[in-house]
This record gives sequence, C-alpha cells and structure tokens, in this order.
Amino acid sequence: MDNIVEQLKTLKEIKPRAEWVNSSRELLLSQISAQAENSKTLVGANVWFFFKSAMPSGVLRFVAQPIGVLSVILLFIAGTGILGVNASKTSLPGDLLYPVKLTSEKVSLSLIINDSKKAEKHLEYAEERVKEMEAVSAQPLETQDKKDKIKQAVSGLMDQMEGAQNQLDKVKDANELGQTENKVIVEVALGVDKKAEELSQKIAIQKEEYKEDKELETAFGAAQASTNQTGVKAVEVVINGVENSKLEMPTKEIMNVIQKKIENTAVTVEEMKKSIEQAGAVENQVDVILEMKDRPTTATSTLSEAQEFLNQGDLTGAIERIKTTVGITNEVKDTVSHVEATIVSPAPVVNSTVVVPEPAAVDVKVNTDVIIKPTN
Amino acid sequence: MQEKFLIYKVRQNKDAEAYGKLYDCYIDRIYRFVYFKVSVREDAEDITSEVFLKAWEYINTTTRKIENFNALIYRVARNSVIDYYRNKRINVSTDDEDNMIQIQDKENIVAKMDVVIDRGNIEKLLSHLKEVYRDVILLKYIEEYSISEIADITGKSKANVRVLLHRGIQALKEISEG
Repeated sequence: MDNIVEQLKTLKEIKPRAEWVNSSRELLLSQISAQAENSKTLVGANVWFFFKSAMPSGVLRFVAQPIGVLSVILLFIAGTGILGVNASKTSLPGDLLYPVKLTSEKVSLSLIINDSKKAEKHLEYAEERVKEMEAVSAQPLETQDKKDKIKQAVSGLMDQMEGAQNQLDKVKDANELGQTENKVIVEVALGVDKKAEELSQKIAIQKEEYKEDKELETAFGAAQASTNQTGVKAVEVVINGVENSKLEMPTKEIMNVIQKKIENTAVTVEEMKKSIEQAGAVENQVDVILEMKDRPTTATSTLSEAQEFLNQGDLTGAIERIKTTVGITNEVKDTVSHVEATIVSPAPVVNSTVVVPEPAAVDVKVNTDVIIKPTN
Repeated sequence: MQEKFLIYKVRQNKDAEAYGKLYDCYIDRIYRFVYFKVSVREDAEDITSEVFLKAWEYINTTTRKIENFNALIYRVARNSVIDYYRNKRINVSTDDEDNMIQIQDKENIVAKMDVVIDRGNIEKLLSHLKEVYRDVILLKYIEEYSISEIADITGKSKANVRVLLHRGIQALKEISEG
C-alpha cells in the first residue's frame, strides 16, 4: 500500500512543458483581454458584489434573511396583505402571484430552527411543485409556454430537494443528541423518506408522459434522481439516529425501508443500462460510451453487496453501498444527458457569440462557441 | 479568500491579469488531470488551453455565484475530455516518455532512471484502472486534495469518495500483483 502511494506521488513530476505553459498563458490572456471591459460600476454595487463573492453563503444568509423577511413583511402591509398570500397558494408557474407564493415559502422556512423539521418542510414544498407540474401538464395545449412552466416547477422541485438534503446532512453530522431528540429525528426522517418515495413515483409518471420530449424527459429524470437521493439520505439519518442512541426501533420496519431502497435502486440501474445502450447507438459516441460500459456491472455488484449487508443485519454497510450505487447511476445519467444534449441541441451560434439557454446553468460546453446547460 | 478576490475581479472587471493568476495556480493540476485521461501530450495541452478559455467564458456569462472555482475548473476539464472522445478517435502517442516530464536533477542519472521506471509502471497500472477510481486516486495522492475537496470536485458524497479510494487502491494492488 505504502509503496503504491509512494509510486503514485512520483506522478506529480508529470508537468506540462514550461514553454507551452508560457505560450498558452500569453495566448489566453490576449484572447480574454479583448473582452475586458473598463466600465466603472457603482461603489455600492462593487461592495455588495464583493461581499456576495467573498463571504461564505451562511454569513450571506445571516445578513440577507432578515432583510428578506423584513421586505416581505413590509410587502404584506403595503401591498397585497395576508389575503394576497392566501390567494397565491393556488397559483401556478407564470401566474402573477406565483413569486409571492415562493417568497412566502422561503419566509416560512427561515422561521423554522429545527434542521429535521426544515427538511420535512422542504419536502412539503417539493410536493407543491409536483402538484404544479401535474396541473400545468393537464392543460390542453402543448406550447413552449407550457413547457417553460413545467421546467420552472421542476427547477423549484430540485431546489427543495437540495435544501432537504443539506438539512439532512446537518442532522446527520449533529453530535451529542439526546435519546428523545434522536427519536423525533428518526420519525421525521422516516416521514421524509416516505414522502420522497411518493414524489419519485409521481415524477416517474410525468417522465413517462413526456418521453418524446428529450429536454423534459431529462429534466424529470434529474428531478427523480434528486428525489431518490433525498430518500437515501433520510434513511441514512434514520440508521445513524438508531445506532448512535441505541433506540429500540422496530428493526424489521427499518430493514423493510432499506429493502425497498435496494429494489428501487435496482430499477434505476436497469434504466441506466438502457440509457447507455441508447447513447451507444448514436454515431461517434462509441468512445464516450465505452468508458461507461462497466458501470452497470459495478452498480449491480455494489447493490448485491448492499443486499448481503442487509441480510447480515449491517444497516450502515447496506446504506453505504446503496449510496455508492446511486452515485454511479447519477454519474452515468449526467454523462449521457451531456452527450445527448450536444447531439439533440447543436449550438445555434456562430464564431464568438455566447448563448446561454438556461440561466441556472452549472455545466459548461464550448468549442469555438460557448454553450451552457443544466445538469443534475 | 485570495482566490475569491481573484474571481471577484474577473467577474466584475473582466480582469485578465487576475485570471492569469488563477491560470498559474491551476495549470499543472488541470494538465495532469487531462493528461491521465487522454494519454497524449499534445492533446492534453490543447484540451487544457481550451478548459481555461471555457472557464473564463462561464465565469463571465453565468448569473450564478461561483462557490468553488476548484470544482468548476475540474468540471469543465471533465466535460472537455468527453467532447474530445466524442469528436476524435484516440491515437496512442508514441512520444518518448522522457518528454512527458521535466526532472530538474540532471546530476543524479541513476536516481532519475529509478524514478522514471517507477513512474512508468504506476502510470501503466493507472491506465488499467476504472476512470472513477483513477480520478479520486489522482486527486487524493497526486494533487493531495482532502476528501471533502474531492467530494466537491467530483460531485460525490464524502462517504462515496472514501469507498472509491479504498476500492481504487485495492484494485491497483490487484493489478500490480496480477
């Protein structure tokens, strides 16, 4: 082991040629200098921008949340009032009152102190996003506007799932909790898992309905993956809570929950196999797909290990293997959608034009052009 | 904090010099990351140049906050490699291995040869490893990132990274013994 690590460290000596580093740097700086703008911005904007860039997001939230809460309260008083918020509850993406609905949700979340309860609340709002998807989806005409509204709801759902996962991480990392506190957390986490399971099934129905529309199918796929991941994290919190405080929980119930997770993950692995085959059928994609050819085997064997651990009563071992499998399937999904997106939507750009189809982009793709698109 | 300040200058003023400093900081790491995936020095150089240009474009067009430049630049590198494989069949380089590195100590020829042999072996072993293992091993043992940083870069959980590292090293041992 030590020998291998020592040998690995020798690879640090692999470096780019110094002359190439310098010439590449010069070329890069000359390319980007052409874009440099000397426009002066307001001092206040500069300070706020730097504050936003430099401060950890926690500090930013600490400052921004009271401002947000105060603004909303003022808005209530001066504007629509409590009735307006109530009226906004049935609003859908694109409606005038929809932003009010989202803001009131944020305010409610900021008022909850308990991390596990916050996760539960995120799931409640995620369910609201699913209802919105269903309502918009039921509208008769298939227009771009309808598609945009569905995408907005999906994006909102992903935000809620991300929020729930962050809260569950905090709960998991919390130390020295009493037995009563742990019991509450375990019960809440079981509820979160159950809700995530329900939502995942509903999203799957939507995904099936829009299977002809690659963009929406991919968006629903990402939302489902995120929802499943929330479920897995919730079960991890359950196991952690039970084992840390030696709670006398009905083991059979927890084992059933994990068994269900294994079965659901097995379905995802099958979907992954199909998606690799489909992507592999596209011309010129063979090299990329070859890289992923062993992933289904790895995922299947990891999932089998999860089943073995569960059979032996090792709940932590089982959930760790499930998490690894989910990680593999998500990675493949990410790569396949990246490959497919570059085929389905070739860049409608010329030379140095910059196209930003999705403002909430996290992935970057540029040849001579720049394309930014969302991934999971 | 200094990195965040550089990003701030890049976003706010499109400061090329600030971006140059980020380039200096990451160029070796990103080159190695790409090189281990494509194995051809010339291609690794081209892709690495492209990565820095793409990252600049992204920073200056996105409306999102750049939480972690480290994770961003590796992500761009990974996607660039995917594009490379999509656009081109791999041609194995016949370059002399000595061209791939620079060893400063020219006096000690014997020590240098030992290093090259060791490095050559481990490099070959790595090339037989699954990509997912190779990435985490590279980031941990060569770039010396923490588990938490690797999790950010790869988008995996910390527990997942630990499992992959353990399995990767085991697999490397098996390959070296077999």
